[in-house]
Amino acid sequence: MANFGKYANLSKHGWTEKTATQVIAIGQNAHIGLWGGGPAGEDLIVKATDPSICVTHEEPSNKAYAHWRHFLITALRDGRTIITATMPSGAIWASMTAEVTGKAGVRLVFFPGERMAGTTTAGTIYVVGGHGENMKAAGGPPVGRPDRGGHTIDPTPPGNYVLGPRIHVVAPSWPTSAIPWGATLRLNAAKEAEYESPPGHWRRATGAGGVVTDAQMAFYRRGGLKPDLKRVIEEVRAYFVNPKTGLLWDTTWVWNDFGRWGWNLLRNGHGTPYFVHTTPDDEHATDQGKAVFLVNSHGCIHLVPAERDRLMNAGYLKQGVPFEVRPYTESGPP
Amino acid sequence: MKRILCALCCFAATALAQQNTCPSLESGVEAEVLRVRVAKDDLGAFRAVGDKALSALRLCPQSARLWYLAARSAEVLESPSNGQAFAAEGGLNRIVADALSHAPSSAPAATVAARVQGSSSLARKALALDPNYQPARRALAELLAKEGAIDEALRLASAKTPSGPMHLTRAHVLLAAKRPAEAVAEARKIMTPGEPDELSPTVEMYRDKQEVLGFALLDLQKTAEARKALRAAAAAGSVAAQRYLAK
Repeated sequence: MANFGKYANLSKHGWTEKTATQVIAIGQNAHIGLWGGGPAGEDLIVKATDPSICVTHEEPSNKAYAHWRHFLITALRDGRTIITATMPSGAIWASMTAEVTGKAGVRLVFFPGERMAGTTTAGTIYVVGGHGENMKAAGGPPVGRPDRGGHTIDPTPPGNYVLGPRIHVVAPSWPTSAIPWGATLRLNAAKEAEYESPPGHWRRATGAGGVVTDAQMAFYRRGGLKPDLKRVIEEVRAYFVNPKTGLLWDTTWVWNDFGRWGWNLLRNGHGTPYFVHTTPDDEHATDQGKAVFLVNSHGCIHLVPAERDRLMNAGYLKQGVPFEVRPYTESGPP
Repeated sequence: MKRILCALCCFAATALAQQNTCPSLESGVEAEVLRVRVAKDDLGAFRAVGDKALSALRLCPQSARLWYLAARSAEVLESPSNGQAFAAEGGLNRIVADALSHAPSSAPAATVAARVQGSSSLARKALALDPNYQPARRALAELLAKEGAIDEALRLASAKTPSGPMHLTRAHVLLAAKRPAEAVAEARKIMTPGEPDELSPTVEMYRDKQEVLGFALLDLQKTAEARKALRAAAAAGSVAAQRYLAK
């Protein structure tokens, strides 16, 4: 036995009990309860028949209301769909209707704690007010920890942000991100590597006083180490120059930790430490036609390069688009 | 006669080309190894290490170092990628088996194989190949503890100047020996992020520390503390902690 309904203090706004129908304006959410479970008390699988119209996520349950589970319905686009609660076999145990109405500007909503993918806590970014598009993404892990270089790894903070402009991120607190993605490289007369940024302006990356050498020294120091300059110079040189030939490995820098493009998450008009971006290894895997598997970030939001391109080309991933990060406690859909 | 000379010339030319190419290819892989230390996504950097090592091995199958790097990358990425990272190259077990057959005298390669195959005899072989190679010593201690040979495991894991990884190994052995209080004390000596004794992503030592802490605290009936540690381990990718919490 199972049925959808309102319990405790869940808002009844837009809910018609008789027809089990929830009306939601685009860009809004509604909360619904599911009472009961399968014949042997199994947890039912709750999802929209057409997930381009709305998606469901499970909220932590209220212990005062035994047998009730709590779901959040997020309206994505105009339309009507059935939300079902099914047994793992597919048998429908309860159903309701969700009717999404109205119009709204495009915004993106990220649910970071939807599921485990391998050992990654993974989620999805949904386009609200589009055509039901979404893309896989991974934020920080749900529990933070210290990292190298004085950095910490943190959950992505829930809240409302706005996407900043699309940029090649430069973040010298990560040594290989001191150079923007795609910068041209060359060797100078002293055989040190230089990079071009901005166009026409060359800076030295390697050797004593080089931008990457300095960044790497600072990285080690912040991590509580006492780096040896000579050794760091050798390490940094190895990123750029083949020691056997004395030539550059590549004439373009493609090892920036933020991948090809990044968008800062702005809060109240101000920058935050959080970016929406890819990783260099996922970019390279994509270029080689290999599968991409997302890993948790330091708090940023990692994207799959091909999906980034798809949403960027569709005009959803761009400066000024509102971006909401939901709490990790909202799980699913399967 | 001419044909034989031609064949010999060809063989010599190929061997010479490989002599020149292999050090260059190895340097390319070593550049990726260096990047692991400073990459924001150090787990992802293992993919570049593994890809480049496997690619270089097509020309340089005699390189024990490349076999180790390929096997270690496949081991590190097995769980995070659900076994997909090197599936096109035959996957973890195939890469490890190839590493063992091509580099039978490599203690690092044998150590990876010991862990992946759960074989204490392989770990023993790795330690015999290089008695100073600490990862082999640790692998053998942990595998012996699982087999119930606690005394030998503890003896192996006792070091004059114990490192973070060796504290972790001792904690694992003590937990297997049903001495949870000592396991907790040992695990708490581990500083994170610490210096690993083997090419590793930073998350590994933190995850394993929280996991052993969590299960040892559970044995001590300190449920709240244990759950906190297990949540941290699960968030860092511990499958055992995730399974426990799901229950």
